[in-house]
Amino acid sequence: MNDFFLSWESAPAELCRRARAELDTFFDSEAPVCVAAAALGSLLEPQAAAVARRIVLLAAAVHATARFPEPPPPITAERSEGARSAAAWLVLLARERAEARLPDPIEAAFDRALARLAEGILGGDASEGASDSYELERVVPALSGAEEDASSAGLSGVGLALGKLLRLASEVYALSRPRLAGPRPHVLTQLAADAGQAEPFALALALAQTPLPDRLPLLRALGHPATAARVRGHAEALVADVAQAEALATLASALQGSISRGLSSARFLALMPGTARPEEELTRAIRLTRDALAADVELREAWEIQRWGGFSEEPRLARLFPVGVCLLALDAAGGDASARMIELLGHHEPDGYRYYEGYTGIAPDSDLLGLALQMAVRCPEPAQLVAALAWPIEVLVRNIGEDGCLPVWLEQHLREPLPEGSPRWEGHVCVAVAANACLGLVEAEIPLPEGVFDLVLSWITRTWDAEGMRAVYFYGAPYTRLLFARLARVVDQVPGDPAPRRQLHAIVARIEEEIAHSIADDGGWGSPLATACHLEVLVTSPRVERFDPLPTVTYLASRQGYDGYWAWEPFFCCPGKDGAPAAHGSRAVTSAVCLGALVRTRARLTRGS
Amino acid sequence: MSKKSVEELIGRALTDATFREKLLASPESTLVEEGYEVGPEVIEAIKSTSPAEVQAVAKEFESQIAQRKAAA
Repeated sequence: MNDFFLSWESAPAELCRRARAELDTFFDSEAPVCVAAAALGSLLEPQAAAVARRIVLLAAAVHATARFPEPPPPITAERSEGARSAAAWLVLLARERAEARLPDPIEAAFDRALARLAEGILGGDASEGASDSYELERVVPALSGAEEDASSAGLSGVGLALGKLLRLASEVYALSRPRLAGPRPHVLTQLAADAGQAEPFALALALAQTPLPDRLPLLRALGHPATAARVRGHAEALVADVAQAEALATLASALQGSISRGLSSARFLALMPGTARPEEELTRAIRLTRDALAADVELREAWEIQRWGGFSEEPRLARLFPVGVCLLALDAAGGDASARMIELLGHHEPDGYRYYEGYTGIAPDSDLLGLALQMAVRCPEPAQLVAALAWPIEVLVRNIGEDGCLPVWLEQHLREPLPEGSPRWEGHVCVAVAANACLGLVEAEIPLPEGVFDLVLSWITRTWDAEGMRAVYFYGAPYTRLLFARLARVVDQVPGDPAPRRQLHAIVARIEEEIAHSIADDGGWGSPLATACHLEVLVTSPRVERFDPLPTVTYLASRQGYDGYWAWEPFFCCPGKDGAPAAHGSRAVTSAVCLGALVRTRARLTRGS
Repeated sequence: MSKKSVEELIGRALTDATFREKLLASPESTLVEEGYEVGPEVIEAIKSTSPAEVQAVAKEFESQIAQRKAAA
């Protein structure tokens, strides 16, 4: 790509080869960054090439912070060189400094740029404001020979405008070159939003980052007349600012030309009607998962089977909880799960459900009882099923502490106590489990002694406020958030003290705000399980009105497997082999959580339309 | 012009290099010759397009389009 790259004589040949090869994935010779690097280099003949290398390395570091992700290959290569990180590019920039010294003021400017970028990168915030000008506001005054005075301040403004223009040109250029690892278009995203096109642009961005990425929708979104006009206007304003420095006017014009060409081709492509149909994908994804769960009669893959747990010589089977999670989702999707739920619920022991079937060395737990109640009310003749759980519910109530602590392990007041020498189970306190238990109690309309429910609810909210995820043992943060949101949806069905209910709603409102701001531009939150949890929180909230679920639907639907399932993810903590810390999960359980979220999304979209 | 024919037009312009060159060089006559009935906004959009940029886009998207065809 770059004729002037990279020829450090004293560096290992392999280092140079890799750096060159990777730069080829960022830029080609017509890329705006290369055009700008050559032009800025020409300000310092005869060291033009050295300056250009610095600019390209700065830009590589910036682009590495927010590059379009490569779709993962179905089978991982035996030996693959991972993409170089932004920090690694900064190290190469420092290496370049050692290779070719520039005049002191210019070195100082590049040092300041490097330091600023490093702060952003190491602080985890480089993809945003800190990098959208490539730090040219520091470099351009030095290259122009300005001293530290008023002219320097003016040129700093010119450099800033040039950097922003370069960023804009790079983003436009990258959209039409999927072969290149261009920066993700966060400036264009903002301009599209300013043009009233936030939602179509966000959906296009998600489509560009699926395992089968498609950037044509992004080009179409860019070609929308309102967005294109906004981009063009923004570029014109920046060009006017840059043109204050005569020496940079030609470069500004070249970058503007590049943007203009990109907009023209995008406008041409915008004539083509969009092919993305996320609503249809939503329906299809729901059907595939529902069929997969319905066809998997035993859901054996979801079972937790302990052969080497370190607490028993015998193989131990835990079925009710993971299979119950799957059946609840199947039920929500309109599949007939009641016969299977009744069959599962029938296997309880004198004190209720033991996590490992037939194994009394583990106390009944409140999570399992909460889930059982949620299943019971979804079956025909729920009263009968709930009545059969009267004693286990009594055990649960008797185990509630004076402070309202609803423990995980219901060890007291058992008719069938734990045998001597039973293992000591971790995770006695977990507010997520308590929330799930309360959810079951509310849904099944279990009458509790006066004030008990309020006491437990106060303990949950108080503990969460004080300790957050430190008070959660068994689940990850996304599923915990979902359990809180589910409880908040039903909590007002139980009359009582408004204070803890208000507190719960306040917690969930904060959760919603937090996750609405942390969504990635691929529409997800890092994994299908986390994404599904957060999607359900947002689409079922009475407070969240401006959330568009379609990019998230795109994220989930595009990552669904060909059998209707999503990949295995850790779901809850359990003892590992020889007692090592471990987590249980299964494709079916991940899929159940995804299915639940998608079904509720469809309901919300239907209501909205 | 129906949606389908716009789709066809753009799709062909992206995948058929000869047609693309002809279309970008002389939009009106090519569209008439090839039997496309288009509105003035389409002709204007084609005229404003940079041939080099569309060539670049088409080249870049060839593999993506082929991949999606295979997937379909």
